[in-house]
Amino acid sequence: MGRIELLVVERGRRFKLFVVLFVVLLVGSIVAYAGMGYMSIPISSVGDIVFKTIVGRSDVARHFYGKQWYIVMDVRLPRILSSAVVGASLSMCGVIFQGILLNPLADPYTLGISAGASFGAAVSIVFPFGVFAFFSTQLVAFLFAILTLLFVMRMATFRGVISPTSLILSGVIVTAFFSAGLSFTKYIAGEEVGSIIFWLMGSFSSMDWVSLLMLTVFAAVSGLIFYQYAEDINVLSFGDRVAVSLGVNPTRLRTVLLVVASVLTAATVSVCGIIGFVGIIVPHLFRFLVGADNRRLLVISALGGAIFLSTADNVSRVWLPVEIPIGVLTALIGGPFFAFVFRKRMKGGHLWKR
Amino acid sequence: MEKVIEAIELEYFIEGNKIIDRISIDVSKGRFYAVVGPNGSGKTTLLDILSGSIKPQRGRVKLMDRDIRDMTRRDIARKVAVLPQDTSVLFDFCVFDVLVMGRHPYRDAFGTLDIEDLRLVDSVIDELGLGELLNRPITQISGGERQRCFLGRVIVQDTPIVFLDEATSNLDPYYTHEILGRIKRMTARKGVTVVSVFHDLSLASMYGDYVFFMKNGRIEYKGEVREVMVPEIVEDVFSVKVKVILDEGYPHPVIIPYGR
Repeated sequence: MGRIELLVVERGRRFKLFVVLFVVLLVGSIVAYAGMGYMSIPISSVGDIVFKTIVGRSDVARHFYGKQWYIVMDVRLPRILSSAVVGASLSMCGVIFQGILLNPLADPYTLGISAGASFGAAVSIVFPFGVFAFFSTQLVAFLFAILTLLFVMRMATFRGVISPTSLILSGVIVTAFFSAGLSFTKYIAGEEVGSIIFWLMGSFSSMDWVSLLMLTVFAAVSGLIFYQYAEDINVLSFGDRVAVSLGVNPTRLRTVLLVVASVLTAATVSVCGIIGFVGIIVPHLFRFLVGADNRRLLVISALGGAIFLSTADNVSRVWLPVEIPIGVLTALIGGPFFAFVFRKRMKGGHLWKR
Repeated sequence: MEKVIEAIELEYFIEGNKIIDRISIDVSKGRFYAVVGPNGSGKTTLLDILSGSIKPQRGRVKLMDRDIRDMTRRDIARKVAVLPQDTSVLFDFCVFDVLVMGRHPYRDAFGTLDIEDLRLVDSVIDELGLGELLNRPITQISGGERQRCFLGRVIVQDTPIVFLDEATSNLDPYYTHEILGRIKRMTARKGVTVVSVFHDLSLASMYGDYVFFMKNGRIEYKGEVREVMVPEIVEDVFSVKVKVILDEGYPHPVIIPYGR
């Protein structure tokens, strides 16, 4: 008996250690990043500002710290926290899409959600009249993303069954269509083309507390739903027949998770544009660390994704002479790192003991 | 004898093509049933219908005296376990993760494992000698070891009925007999009922007690192994010439197809 219990306890303990480590790292980096920038603010002041504001003494803090309070609370924190929430969301969605599409190459954009959103955004930028006059670019992008999802799901359903292959193919078709639409819109856009490109590249520079709050609610609710189904996704990795024999309904599971993950992805896209690479490398990276179990993978990827994207955004904001679009930077930082881990792993070497 | 599966007048078609054509079968407790037939004769579809994975357009299935339409997927998963052919898995779950998955149909909303679950898993690890492999990713062990691990998952699922779908098709003789032998012993010791699709007719007659011959979505012949594993029937169903050897020193018919 002892052996099994030991194994379970030991794995649980190591996982908890990672979680604690990552939480400390995340909180630490958020506070540290809030102090960095054009005006440098000591970490102790940042801590004091945040603490006083949370406990309802913001007027005291505002009076005492003056301009520093506004910089931390109104400019930097919304931006840093948003990048963390988006990083966590995209990473979780990556785990989910890879799990339900049974494809390690899948990411939150595989099904064409980003292509749909981009097209929607471009159209609303170039034709700011008619229906588009009433909706913001964000909202149009979000609606296009959802419409794309519904269309892809409809196209991929045969005899009431949704299979991973048909989903991926439908995604490819829709992506090709919307990419062409986007190119055409850019072609006829004239001088608006700059705004389109800027929007598509993604940025956290104009984040406020309202968007952040909305995004956080989306992310938290989705995260709970994902976690609830994580065990079912594990079972689904062994194919639909095995999943059915263990009491899981694959098509229902796919439908629920596709909708939730896509809505979350659409929300991130509409708030801060398209940020590639996070959703595909973070799940892979942490699969190396905690194994394939989606329950653990979700938690650790959410934390790791938050650290990764907030760090990337900080690099762009603080350390580089000019701000590089965040979507570009994630690939620039993440690419080489992932290549290193991947090579090491494939050679059979252990980065760390499993 | 106690009936564990009763299928009545099953019909299943896809866009007008009949895949299953009015099949009725009874399956009794503790026996090993072999299902054989040419490719595309509907064997796998029949298993999928009997395990509630697809719904037939006509007819009904009763599992342990309950209509399968009144059972949830979890209910069914506590009655029937399925071991398909060894397939590649993309994500490297370790052997222990896979064994524990056998308890999936019994887990509560929080997905916790209780001590009974762990005890069962532990006994299966000993029974199958999987102790050394527990932490190994299933993508990095041999096909035979992997199928033994999947068999472990099926035993952990602890169901009265087990379906095999060409479970040993790509295994070497050692693992083939190891896996089928263990399943066969489960029928004798625990009264588990087995329905297994085979391509190898000699294996079917060695492990099966009773054989269903399928062709074009119908059950053409059925009976005890020694009654139906005869050249006339095999030649009719598979359209090949066969030699059936009955040796006094070996208790099962050996079937050798030798030409068209």
